[in-house]
Amino acid sequence: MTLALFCLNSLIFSQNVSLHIKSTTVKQAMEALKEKNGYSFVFSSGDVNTSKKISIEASDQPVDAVVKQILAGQDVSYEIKGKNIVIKKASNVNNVPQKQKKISGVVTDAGGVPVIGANVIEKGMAANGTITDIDGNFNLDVAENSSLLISYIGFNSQEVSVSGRNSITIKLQEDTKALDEVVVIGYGTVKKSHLTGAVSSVSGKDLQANVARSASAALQGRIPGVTVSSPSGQPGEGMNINIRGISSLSSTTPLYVIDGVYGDINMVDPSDIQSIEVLKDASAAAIYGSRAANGVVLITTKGGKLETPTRVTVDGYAGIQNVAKYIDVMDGNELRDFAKTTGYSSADGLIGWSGGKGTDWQKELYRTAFISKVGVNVSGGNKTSVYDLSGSYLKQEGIVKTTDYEAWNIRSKNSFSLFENHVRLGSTVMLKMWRKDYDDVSYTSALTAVPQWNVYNENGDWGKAPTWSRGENPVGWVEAYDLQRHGVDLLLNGWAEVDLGIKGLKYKMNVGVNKYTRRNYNYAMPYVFSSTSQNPDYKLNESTNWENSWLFENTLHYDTSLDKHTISALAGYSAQRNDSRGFGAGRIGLPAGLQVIDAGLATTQTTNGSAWANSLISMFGRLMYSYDSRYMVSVSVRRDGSSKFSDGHRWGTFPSASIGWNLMNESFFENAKKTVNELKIRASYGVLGNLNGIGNYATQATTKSGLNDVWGGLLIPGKTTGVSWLSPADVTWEKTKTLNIGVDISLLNNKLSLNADYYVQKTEDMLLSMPQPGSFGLSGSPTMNAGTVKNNGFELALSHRNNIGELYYHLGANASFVKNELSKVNGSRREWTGFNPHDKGAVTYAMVGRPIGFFNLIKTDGIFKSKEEIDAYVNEKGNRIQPNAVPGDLKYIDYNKDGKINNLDRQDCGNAFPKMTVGFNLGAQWRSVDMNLFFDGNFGNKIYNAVYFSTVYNESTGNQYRERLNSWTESNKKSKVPRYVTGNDTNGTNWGYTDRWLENGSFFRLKTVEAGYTLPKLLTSKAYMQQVRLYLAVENLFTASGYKGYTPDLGINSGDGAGTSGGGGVMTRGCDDGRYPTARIFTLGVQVNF
Amino acid sequence: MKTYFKKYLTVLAFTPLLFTACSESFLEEINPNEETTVTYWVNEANVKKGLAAAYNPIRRMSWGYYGGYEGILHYQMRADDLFPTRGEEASIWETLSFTNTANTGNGAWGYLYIGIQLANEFIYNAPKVKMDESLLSQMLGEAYFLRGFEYFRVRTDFNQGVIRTLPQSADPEAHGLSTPEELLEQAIADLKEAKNRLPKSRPANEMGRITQGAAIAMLGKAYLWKGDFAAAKAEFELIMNGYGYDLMPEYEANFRDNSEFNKESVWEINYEALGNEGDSWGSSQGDNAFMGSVIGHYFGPSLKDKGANGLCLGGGWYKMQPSPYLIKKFIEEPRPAGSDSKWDKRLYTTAFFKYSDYKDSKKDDTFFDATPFDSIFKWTVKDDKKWSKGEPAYPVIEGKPGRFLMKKLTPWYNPTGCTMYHNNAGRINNFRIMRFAEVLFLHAEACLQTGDVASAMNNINRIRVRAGLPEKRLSDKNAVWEELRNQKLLEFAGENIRWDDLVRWYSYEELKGIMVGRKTDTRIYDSNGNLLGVEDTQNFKNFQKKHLYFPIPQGEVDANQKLQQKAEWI
Repeated sequence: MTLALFCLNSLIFSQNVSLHIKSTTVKQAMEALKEKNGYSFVFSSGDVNTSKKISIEASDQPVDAVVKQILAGQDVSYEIKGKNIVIKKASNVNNVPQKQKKISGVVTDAGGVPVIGANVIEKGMAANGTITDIDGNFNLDVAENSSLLISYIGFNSQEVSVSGRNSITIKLQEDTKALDEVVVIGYGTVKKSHLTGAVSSVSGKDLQANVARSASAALQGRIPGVTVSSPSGQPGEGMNINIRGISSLSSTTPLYVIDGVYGDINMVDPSDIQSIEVLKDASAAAIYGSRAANGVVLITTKGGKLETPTRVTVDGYAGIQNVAKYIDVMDGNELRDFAKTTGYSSADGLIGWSGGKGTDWQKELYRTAFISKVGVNVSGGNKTSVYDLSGSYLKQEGIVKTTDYEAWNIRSKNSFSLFENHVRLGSTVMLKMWRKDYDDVSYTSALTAVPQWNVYNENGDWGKAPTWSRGENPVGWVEAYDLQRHGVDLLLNGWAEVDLGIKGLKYKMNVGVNKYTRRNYNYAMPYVFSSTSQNPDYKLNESTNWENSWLFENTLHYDTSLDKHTISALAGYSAQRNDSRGFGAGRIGLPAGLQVIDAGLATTQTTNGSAWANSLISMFGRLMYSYDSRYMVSVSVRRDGSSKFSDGHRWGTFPSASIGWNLMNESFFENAKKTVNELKIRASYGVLGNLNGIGNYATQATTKSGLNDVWGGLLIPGKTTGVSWLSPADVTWEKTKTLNIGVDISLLNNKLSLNADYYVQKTEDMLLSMPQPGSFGLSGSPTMNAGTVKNNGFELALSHRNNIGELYYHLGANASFVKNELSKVNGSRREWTGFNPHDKGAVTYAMVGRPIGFFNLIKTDGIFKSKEEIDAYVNEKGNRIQPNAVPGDLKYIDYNKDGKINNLDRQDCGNAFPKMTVGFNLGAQWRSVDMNLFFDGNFGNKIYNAVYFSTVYNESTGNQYRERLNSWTESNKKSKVPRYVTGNDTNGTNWGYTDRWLENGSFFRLKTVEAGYTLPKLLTSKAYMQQVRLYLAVENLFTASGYKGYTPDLGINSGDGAGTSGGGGVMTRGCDDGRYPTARIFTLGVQVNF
Repeated sequence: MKTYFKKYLTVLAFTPLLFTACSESFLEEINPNEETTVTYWVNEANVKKGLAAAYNPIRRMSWGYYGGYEGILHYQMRADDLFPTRGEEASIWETLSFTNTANTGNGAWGYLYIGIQLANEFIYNAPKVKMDESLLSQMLGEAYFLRGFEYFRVRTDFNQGVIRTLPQSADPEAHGLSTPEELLEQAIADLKEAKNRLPKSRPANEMGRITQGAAIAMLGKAYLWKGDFAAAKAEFELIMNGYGYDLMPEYEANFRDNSEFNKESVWEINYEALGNEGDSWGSSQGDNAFMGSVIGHYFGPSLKDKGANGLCLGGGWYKMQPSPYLIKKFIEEPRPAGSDSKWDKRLYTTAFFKYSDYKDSKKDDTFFDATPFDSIFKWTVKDDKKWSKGEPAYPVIEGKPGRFLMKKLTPWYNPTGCTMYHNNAGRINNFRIMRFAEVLFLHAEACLQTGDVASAMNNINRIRVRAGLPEKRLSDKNAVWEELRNQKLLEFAGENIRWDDLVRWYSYEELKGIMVGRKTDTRIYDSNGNLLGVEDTQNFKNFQKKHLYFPIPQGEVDANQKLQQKAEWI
């Protein structure tokens, strides 16, 4: 096989060209034109004599003229297609081999977009070839049983047999492993081969972004070391994204940079994503210094291509969603029998129940919900400008009645070049308008509401609980409350880049503005659900707030190459400020049917309003150097000052350095290079800062009002100082130091690639809200530089792509392993507590030498089966350890061996952070059929089932988990479910802080499966469509998990309507106190390209 | 053109340097929402607000010291005057059944220390303000009183506690546990300080603020706990003469909203329908927080939505009942023949019952919205099953089974019922923390301890006569003691006094014996309704010495490095 392709590609715009070279080779001239102006030559190596000596003399001439000079005297013809110059042997056109068969076809990319200028060559006959036209079409005469080789820069070559076919559609797969791939890093790009930091890159296509509901959901499981977990299944809710373990107890949210502007990942319509780059280690992220300790996620939205005709893509899907799982609770008869046999209740209405199964509250609360989305994208470009416009509309009903979500996204991304490309301007405008109808019903109430309770009365009112029970009518609740959030989120980015006269020196100014306009609406109708759940009157509260932020960045870039030396330098300065203002009002006593504040009673009026602001100034610099594409060094430093800290503790300096070695470019490696295409070793070390954990004014002492009293029948407004905790004045930046060692390997023509990273990450002076003794009498807790957290981790990504005949397939797997430990605490404190369900004792702890948020619980050791067992359970002195136990009670492990069971017997029972996180994707394409599967999984983590705990602990006579029917009794001694405790629980069998409620959190899930079919071109072209693809996608088709709750995917407890008993924060991960269940989603979609 | 352009760009590139110069002021952000400590303590108006804030923690509707839910009124149900309704919130029931741990059911700690911190803040900062000296001194007296009262409660509820006399800002170190004696000394010192600064009386527009009388009464009570009976006696005698306090002729006047701040009232919390009336579960914090009480709802009986006149808005949760022991003691001594009621007048304020059931000379009453007892009993006990998890074993009287419901602390006189929902009239009754009647009992106790049996008997007779009972002439010290204990039980049932008394009067062993006897008071039936027996469902058999007081909350133990759990609770 003599075919070799030179793929010299470039990102820069087309233009007139100046080139002055004396006595050089054709190859060097081609490279010069590419380096300087970005034109790539595509040709078969045998067709052009690249070592021929030539001289070029061109001043401000069209490219055409320069190419003519380069190719002078060679027997070739060429065609300029956009930025590609396609060279063919001139004789090809005339000296066609013996005609045996005419074949025609179309070459497209995976998305069905025609590929222009692709090389189509008959295998073994390098001379017989053609290139595709503007619609991707080609015609070629070939031998009857031959094969076609199709190639194009940036794509994997493909071989297709023509036997028995006259027309053929070839779909090229992007060669994401191409060595010359450019990776977006902070404030610039770098060749992947020159990259020294730990950066993971994933394209929008690989994310299956078209079928994802949100950008963060699309990212779930795709990148090793990036943990995406779900706080709740509420439509429109973002996900918790966490890069490389828990480096901070305050906030683990990474920094999102969207087309150069700090923003929110949830603002991005997933189908607008071109690529996402995750900067994981310190050297990659250090240029973002202060805000990068939790990693940086760079989101590049789709842009147009130069000299490309307008392309229109329409993409739409519609589908249904339902609850993926119901929790097994008792029906009416079972609850009655349970009450009879255990003495759970003696209420007539329950004991005498004859109404059958009664109400299935979960079935009443959840529903099959509709979902649909339609999006349009228009893109294209001419010689000096490109554009990309998109708009979409998503409507998603929630699987919980009355919840839904609606979002309109509009985005425009443009760039222009002026003054012979010495000035470049660009902008991104994103607008998202959304409405979320959420509900804050307690999901536990759907389990505890008794089946003997009707959803509605005969007269249509919400049913009231039988007097022997209590709680909320969950359906009544979601109908009585209308809770809405509305947002208009705007992101504006404008940039200008100017060449400063010296070759390679550029100045860039970047201005970003975010404006979030939010409106909350909270309406309640009167109801009486039970003696404990009543609302006497119509109520309306509305509030609105505006959040603005601006960013002003100035950077100087210098890039140069000298012989084998490549230098890239960056210096920058940026300032940013975020501020917010808001107010709200509420009234009670609105007439039914009126839902404006004015309709309420003025005497009941409440108002409120507040504001905040913070600002940040940064200076930064970076130097990247590479020698002969073999040795790379990068050094950067960033200095940040924040308004959140007090004077004198405001500034932090964050340096980093990294090195890389491309072994495959060494001469001793020459022989192996045929099999090992890439082999790189990287190492980096750096320091990053974090201030997410601290409030805007944490160190400023203020007053608090509203501590009122009544003197002589008059209201005396109370106000005083010293009500809430303040942070100490010397509180300052949290610093994360990371050492990263990585290796990138690519084998067998890039068919197989492997990336592995090992890191040690240490967060010092961790900012943490530290609970304080109640005896201080202050509310809240101060944020302090509390301690040190260590994370060690290993990340692995493997991928394989190949063609077998017409079958193209790819496999990808990623896995991450993290070990987290709180290694040191400043001051004398040893531990502090996290999730505290229903205030019955904390279950998650952070303690020196243990992982953050580990479950610190009393371990159970089965069930006492007899009095003898209880009597035999003694300590060294022969005293009974659990003297109050009766058969059927839990046996606890006396961890501290003091002969009694209490708080001090708590021990590490595991934690919510998986030992291993995996993601697998499998994709295949055969002719017009394609298929993608994506699996993700967590292993080695635990879940605290606070829902189960609270139903057992239930303070009213509520419904119970069905497994309690099997509770231990004298006649059911084999049961693993402890006895039903009548009367006083002197043994503590129902205590909350025991591992009775701890479950295995491992799961493996088929998260997305997508099957597509592309209609035959013949059919679609008649309708003026280039491509039509139909697909069926299913999300959460199955989840293999032993967990009793709705879903084992339990991120930090946050978001609208999430069960919030027990507090929020990092230590609520894996703590399930009733969250919006995850939906299983079936969608049918169509993608059309015009 | 090109050169010009380059120059322009060079200038632009260096503009960042200009920003750097003013970066420090750019990074100065001041909290726009609240005044700062420095700007606040500057005038009399703010001092007044600061004092109001110090009063706030003990009045909080829910979760305050005298509030509902985990407020202390619940925990008193361990005593023999009350029968907690079985099957109520587990968090409360754990404490009532002595199965609580340091993780559960001891919220009072937090509320008391919030009060202590706010008093400390006031005592520390108010003197910095230039204002009328005597006025400032009075106000400081109030803050000292609040702090002294709160330390006294830390002593009675927790036995041991942390002493802090400076605000956190002035004393950032955590403190360890002090002994019971040290806590009492601190309370006594604060109350003395208060006594010397406070006015004897308050004008109408200051009702609810502490007076000297309250400080003296609390000081005497603290001396009594300390065992300094002579000092206690002296304090009580001070206010028994010349302060204008006396018993109200009608006992009932102490529990109604139309007779607040009467001559028997030494200190009461002023609850009013101020603030957002829709705020049913309020914390009494927030600019528009409701300033009423939820006690009536917590302890009120079940009522139906429509009473006789259609005014009734609803009933309460009926969490506390008169104990069978209390009823037994009430009916043990009927009034002399010819009296206008069969029993002690106080019984008719303490409990709802049907007088005619027991051949009473008093005619049957109706309550709330002209509702007869039978209806209230049916709604509460039959319909809402408040006896289904434990029926109080009331005695059979005149051949009829005893049927009693708790009346005191409910607004029985209010036609709109006792619900807190939409019913302001039901939540404005003040809560009397210190009545003159208690001063009489405390004085009597001090007298008995110092050998003055006659004065003790005298005081008890004042109480007896007001209750419609004849005077008693007892001279045996032990007999007077017994009469004191019995009369105090009847006088203060449900008023959060009894448990403290029991703990003070008896050793643990004595108390356990007494309580197992008195609290074996729950009738248990089988599923066919056959009586199985009378049981100790409140679990006094598990009552251990440590249960005399609450454990130090686990949160405090976890967070406070200077402190360890009390030995008996480890």
